Order: sequence, then structure tokens, then C-alpha cells
Amino acid sequence: MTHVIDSEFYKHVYATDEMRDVFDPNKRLQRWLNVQAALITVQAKMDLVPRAEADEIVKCCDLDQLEFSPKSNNFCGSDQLLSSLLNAVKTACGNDAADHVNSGVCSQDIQDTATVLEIKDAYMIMLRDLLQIESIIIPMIEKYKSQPMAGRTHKQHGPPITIGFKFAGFAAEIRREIERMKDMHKRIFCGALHGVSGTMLEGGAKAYDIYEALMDQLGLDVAPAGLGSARDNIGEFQVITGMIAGSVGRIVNEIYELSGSELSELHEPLSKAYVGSSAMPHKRNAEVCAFAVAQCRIVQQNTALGLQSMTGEHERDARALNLDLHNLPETCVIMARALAATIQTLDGIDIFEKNITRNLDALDGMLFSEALMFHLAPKIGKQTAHDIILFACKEAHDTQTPIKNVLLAHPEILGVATEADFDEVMVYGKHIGKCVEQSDDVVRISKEASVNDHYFLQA
Amino acid sequence: MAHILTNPYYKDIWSTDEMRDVFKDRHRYQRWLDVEAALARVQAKLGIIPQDAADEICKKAHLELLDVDALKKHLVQAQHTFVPLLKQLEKACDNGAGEFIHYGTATQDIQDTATSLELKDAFKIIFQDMIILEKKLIEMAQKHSSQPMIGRSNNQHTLPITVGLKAASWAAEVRRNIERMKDMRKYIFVGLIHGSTGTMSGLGDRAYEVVEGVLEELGLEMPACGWTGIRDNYGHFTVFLSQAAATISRITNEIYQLSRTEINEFSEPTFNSSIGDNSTRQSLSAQVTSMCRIVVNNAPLALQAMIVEHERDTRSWRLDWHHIPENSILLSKALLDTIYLIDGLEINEEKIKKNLNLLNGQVLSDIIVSRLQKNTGRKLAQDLVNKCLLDAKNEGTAFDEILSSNEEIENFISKQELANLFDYSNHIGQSVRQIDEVVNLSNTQSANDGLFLTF
Repeated sequence: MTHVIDSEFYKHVYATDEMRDVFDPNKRLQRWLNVQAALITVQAKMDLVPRAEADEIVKCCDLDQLEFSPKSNNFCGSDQLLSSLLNAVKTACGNDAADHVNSGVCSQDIQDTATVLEIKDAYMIMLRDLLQIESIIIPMIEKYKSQPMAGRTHKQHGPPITIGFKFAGFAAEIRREIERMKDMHKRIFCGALHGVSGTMLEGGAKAYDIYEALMDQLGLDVAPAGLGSARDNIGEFQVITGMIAGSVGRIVNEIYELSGSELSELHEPLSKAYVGSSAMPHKRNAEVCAFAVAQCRIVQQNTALGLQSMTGEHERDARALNLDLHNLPETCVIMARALAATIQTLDGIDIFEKNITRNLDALDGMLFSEALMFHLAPKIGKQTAHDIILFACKEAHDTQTPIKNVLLAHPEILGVATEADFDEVMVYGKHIGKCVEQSDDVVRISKEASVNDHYFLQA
Repeated sequence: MAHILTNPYYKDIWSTDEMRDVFKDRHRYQRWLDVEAALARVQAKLGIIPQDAADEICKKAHLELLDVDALKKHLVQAQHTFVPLLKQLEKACDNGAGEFIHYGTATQDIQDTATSLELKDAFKIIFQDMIILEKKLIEMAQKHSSQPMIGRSNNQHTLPITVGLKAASWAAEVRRNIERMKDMRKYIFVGLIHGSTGTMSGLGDRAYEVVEGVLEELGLEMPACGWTGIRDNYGHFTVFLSQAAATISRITNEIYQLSRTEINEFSEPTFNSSIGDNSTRQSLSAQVTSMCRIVVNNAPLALQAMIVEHERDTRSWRLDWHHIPENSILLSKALLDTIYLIDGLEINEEKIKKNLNLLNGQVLSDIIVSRLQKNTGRKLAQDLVNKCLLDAKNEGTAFDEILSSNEEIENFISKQELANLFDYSNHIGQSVRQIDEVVNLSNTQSANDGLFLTF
């Protein structure tokens, strides 16, 4: 197992086949050939290369047909790999055509443009999965928007929320990540044809026409100036991916937390084949969530590398470029798996309503401290009520007495409130604030923002 | 004062008064009081608390009217970041108005809403400075648009660029960051008055009116829902600053490299030091590059802070107190220094010319081949030029001289044409056009810049 995303035994846990395929080594070479073929087609259209020879080159830009088997021990860099690939094309297409292979272009142009095509494929998968996560969450918001659940701040119970409101928080954040992906779409899909130092000298007088036509053919955008050492677009993609890992990581981490034995409120769906422990048959580990959290952390860590690859020197700097060779496949493949894991977790998630109700009562009514304070506020003042309840809660906690009883015995409360008053206040469903309205707002905002989603999923 | 940003000897090298001020302790506390005052005003307007109480709260919600010494003592005892301030405000309010402060809200509401106000101030300063930097870079690009300079790929000389194209590449990247800031704006200026678990339950039936009223008064936007346990807005702000720092450091690192003794194409602006009249060359580009590395390094922290647990999690929240001010303050100084560097950058034309021909024309060998092959075919052209390259290496003679005295080549290329071929200014490709494209795009995109400064 050299790397876990390719491990014979664990690749299904750390990677998805679909995203690994985007970064398949031979696919990458084929993309280089595709860029080459597109270029020659454009050059032929502009009468810069004879038609027949261009056709011959295009025919030869097919990895399966090429005699090409580089030994990894005598290859010392991406540029050399590309040039030996192009030599194979030259050999295959005969002398006349060979002269036209890779003319007016440098190897970084081919590689960077192919990288942008890879990023585009990865982008589509990530965006599609984020949309799917949102679409699974939204019906759950609707279904559970008024069902109370303990709210927790700093791991301590606070005013109740609703199950639907928790999901609304997930959906709102996922929607913002979707919008961030849409925001960067206009910037990050620019390809390159700017030559070795970025001046487009190699393209001659028609350099701009060739560049524009090539990008059009490949479905990419035109950059105002060469991107040789300006790698901020790739950096932005990695930064946003790191943020998506934060948002997705929060969801799976939350489900992991709420699935512990003491809480047992939510749980990822367990399949029939599930095995929790080699020792203890009862174990119900939230394994999928656990892996996904770990994966999100790896992705976030790679963001730092993505930023470092932005500080290249001069017109080209392999110390920066080479980071992306590591970073992009690892980040995208692991992110894709975390996204798939999140879908797997949410789709059919176990919601243990009984435990949720039981946990609400864990503090024997103390969760109503704020509600009780507001109930008492008109009679004795809010800050006074706050202080009385603060001490009453301490006593209730230390003596394991329900808060209601402690308060009813408090001298300043005598004559101010009765048990019946308190019972009327102490109903969880009455204290969910604006959970329902907020849940509705989140659904509405997501729907409004989603009207142009489809545009961003087009290749 | 242990931190470099507050160290009296260093703070002005690492930060500006302006940005330090945004995050100053007492400003932060005053903002918290401002949020409390806005809340009281809105709640009084809606009849939730008495108008008299609101008036009294607003009158006393000024840090200079509170007992700061008692406040500090209480902060240490209570181990709470906010209640001691609230207690002092309560104490300062006469006629029982203290009962109505902070009515139905939580600590995080006040602190996060105030943080969003800090972000607004920080955003404005950074946005303005980015626009100034872009302008300076565009000026540099246009002024030197066709001045040839050697291009370097993996530290080796390659085909020439122009001084202007280098600046244009920086300008284009800075403009993309400006556009990123514009995109980001819609996510980050949101307030939070949603109570401890975000449900607004403490605010009663008219909760929406309260929250909308307060946020409108403070100039913040309404979030889709409470975000007590969601930090993507702050994460976005910090990682964006980290990304901007990576851009700035590409510029300053390049200046640092190109001003090394052996290259000496750029020199940092000279200025009179305060000690005597010695003219000192400061290594400002080094300083900026290191500051940017710190800012870049904070990105993972901000991303970690996004994985919040449950409805509120101080383990995330307190990371924001570190990375938001530190990144804003350092980046802001880095930007200002970079503006200064570009504005006064000395471009050593003689040295640029000299370096351009350091390899005596070898970087143009491929161009000579292309020209020669018109007469000889590619194979022979390559052989001829390769021979010249080899002779130059073996004899230690200049490539351009050897080539010029090669009789075979003389048959095809006249002396005059060869001189033109060895003139670097004939090989700057589309440098000038690219600079124009960068300027045009900037002109189009900057048309609405002003909208992002009015809030």
C-alpha cells in the first residue's frame, strides 16, 4: 500500500473510482494528447499547418495506438514525460507531419491546460455531490422542523432546537459552498497557450487567434495574461475545496458525535454486512463518518500546500508546479470520498426520536432556565431572575433535585409563581423559538439560489 | 507586550495603526456595547423593553463610563469573556434599567456581531489598498510595456519577456483577488442575534423584527438562519486573506530575487533612515514575504475552526479571535509595503540589458533555427545552430559571435538580418497586447468597485 487512495484493500474507503479515474495516469497522458490534437486542428483551420498532416497527427494522438512505455527510472520530470510522449506521436505520424507536432507551444502550456481540464471534471463531481447532499437534507428539514431536540453549547445543554433546524444549518452552509463554487467558475477554467516565458512569442503574429480558438475548442476560458507563475486559480480551487471539507466535515463530525452511546440520537445507516468490532459484537461505530472526518482534515491540510504553490518565482517554477502534481489528485480524490460518505450517511440516516426526547430531559427541567427567567422577569426583573435561577440550578445539580422543586422552595419565588405556572412553561415544544421560520427561510433561499445551478454542471 | 504586533519597537514594521485600531481591545469592547445599545433601542421601539430603560442603557453604553479596573478583576475571576462587561454596564445603569440589558440574547450574539463589524472595517481597508496596488502595477506595466527583460524558467534563462508583462501578470492576479473579495462580500457581513442555540427563542414572538431591526441599525445582513455553530463566513474571510497573501508574496519574493547582487535588475526604493543621513537600503521585500507566510499559515487554522460541534463550540470560536485580527493586521501592512515598493521600485535598465544577453544570444537559438530552416530545412538548420552552440561552449566564445562568423549561415542570413534576429526587442511576442488585455479587463471589472466600499 504505497498510498491509501490506491490501496488494493482500502481504496474503496479513501477514494471513489469515479474521481480516481479523473486523475488516472494514462487519462492524463491522453488529455495531453487531446490538447495537442485540438491545437493542430486549430492550426490547420488557420492554414498554419497542412490539412493532411494535421489529420495524421490527430489520428496519432491516441495513447492506445502509440508505442509508448516510458521507464519510470529514466524519466526525471513531467516535461520529459511529455516530450517522450510527443516523440512517440512524431514517430507514429511520419516525417512530414512530425515537424508540426508541438509547434508554437511549450510543455507547460499542454500540462497546465490539461490540469485545468482535470480540475473541471473534478469540479463537476464535487458540485454534483454537494447538490445531492443538499437535496437529501431539505426534505428532512421540512419533516422535522418542529420536533424538539436538545441544543448544545460547549457540550452543555442549552435552549432546545429542532431536528429540522439542525439540518437547516447544514443545508444553509452547503448552499453557501455551492454558491462559492459557482463564484469561482468564471475564473478558474482558463487554459494556457502562452509559451515558455508567457509572451506567446512561439505563436507568432496569430498567437491570440490560435489561443482563443484552442480554448473555444476545449471548452475553456481565455486569460488576460499568461498564467506561468500566476497559479492563483488553482490555489483558489484548493482553498474552496478546503472550505467544502470544513462544511462537510462539520456535518459528519456532528453525526459522529450524536451517535455515541450516551447520546445515540443520530446514526449513519448500518448495512447488513456491517461489522463494528473484532472483539465486541455490540459495537455500532460510526465508521463512515469517522473516515469522512479524517478525510476532510487531510483535504484542509493540503490547502496550505495549495497556497504555497502560488508563490512561484520568475516565469516558471517547478518547485511550485510540482506541489500541484501531488496536491490536486490527493485533495480531489479524498474530498470526493468524503462527499460520497456524507451522502451515504445522510441518505437513510437513523433518527432515534425516542432518545432525542429522552436526552431533552437529561437536566430534569434545567433546560427551561431561560424560559423560566423570562416567565419571572415581569414580576421580579430579568437580571434578578437570572441570578436566582443561576444559584437554583447549582443546587438542583448538586442535590439532583428537579429545578422546579428548588425554585418553588425559594423564598423570593414564593407567592410569585405556582407549580401549575411552571408546568405550563416547561413544555419543550413551546421554546423552539423561530426554528420553523428559520428552517423555511433556509429552504426558500436554497431554492431561489438553485435556479441557475444547472449552468454550472454543463461541461 | 510580547507579541510582535504590539511590541513597541517592532509594531510599526509589522502593522499599521489603522488596522491595529480596528481590532484594539477597547474598540472591541466598545463595539460590544454598541451592539447592546442597538438591541435596547430596537427592543424599546417594539415595546419589548421600556423606552426609559433603553435610553439609560444607550447613555451608559460607553466604555469610558464603566469601571474598567473592576471589569478586569472580574474577567480573571469569572473565566468568562463577556459577563464582567455586562455586569459593569448593569451597574452603571440607573433606575433599574440594568434589568433590560442583553434582553433575550447570548454572549456569542454580541461578540460575533461585533466581529462582523470588525470584518467590515478590515475589508474596506484591504479592498482599498488592493485597488491602489493594482493601479501602481498597471502604471508599471504600461510604462515598461515593451522593455525587454530576460525570462526565467526554473531559474534558467529562456525567451525574453518585458518588464511590463511581469507587472501585468501581478496586476491581473491582484484584480482576480479584488473580484474574489467582491464575491466574498455577500457571505461575510452577517450578524447574529439568535440566542445561545440560534433559535431566537429568547427574543419572543417578535424575534424576527428584533434581529432585523438590530442588524439594519448596525449595517449588517440577515443570515439564512442562526449560525452559532457554523463558521464558514469567518473561515472564508481568513482563507481569502491567506490567498491574497500568497499573491502579495509572489510579488515581493520576485523583487527580493531580482534585487540580489548578481541579478540586480530591481532595487527597492531608497529612503533616508532616521539615524543620521545615511541612505539605507532596507530589505522590505523580505519583511513582506515573511509576513505573508504567517498569513498563509493561518489558513489551516481557520479551516479547522469550521468543524464546529453542536450549536456552539468555543474550541472553534476562539481560534477566530486569533486568526482574524492577525491575518488582517499582517496582510494590511504587507499590502501597504508592497504599494510602497512598487511605487518607488528602481528598475535598473542597464543591468536588465546586460543580463538579457548573459548567454550571448543562446536563448534565441530556436528562433535562429526557425529562420534558417526556411532555406535549409529543419534538420540542417538544427545541426548548424547546434554546432555553433557546441563551439561556443568548447571555445568559451560568445554564441552570437560564432554564429555571425559562420560562413554557411552567412549564405542565408545577411549581417543586417542577423543583427535584427539578435535584437531582443523583436522577440517579446504578445507582451504589449497582453498588457492591454489586463488593463481592459481591469477597466471593465473595476466599474463597480465603488459599490463594495459603500456600507
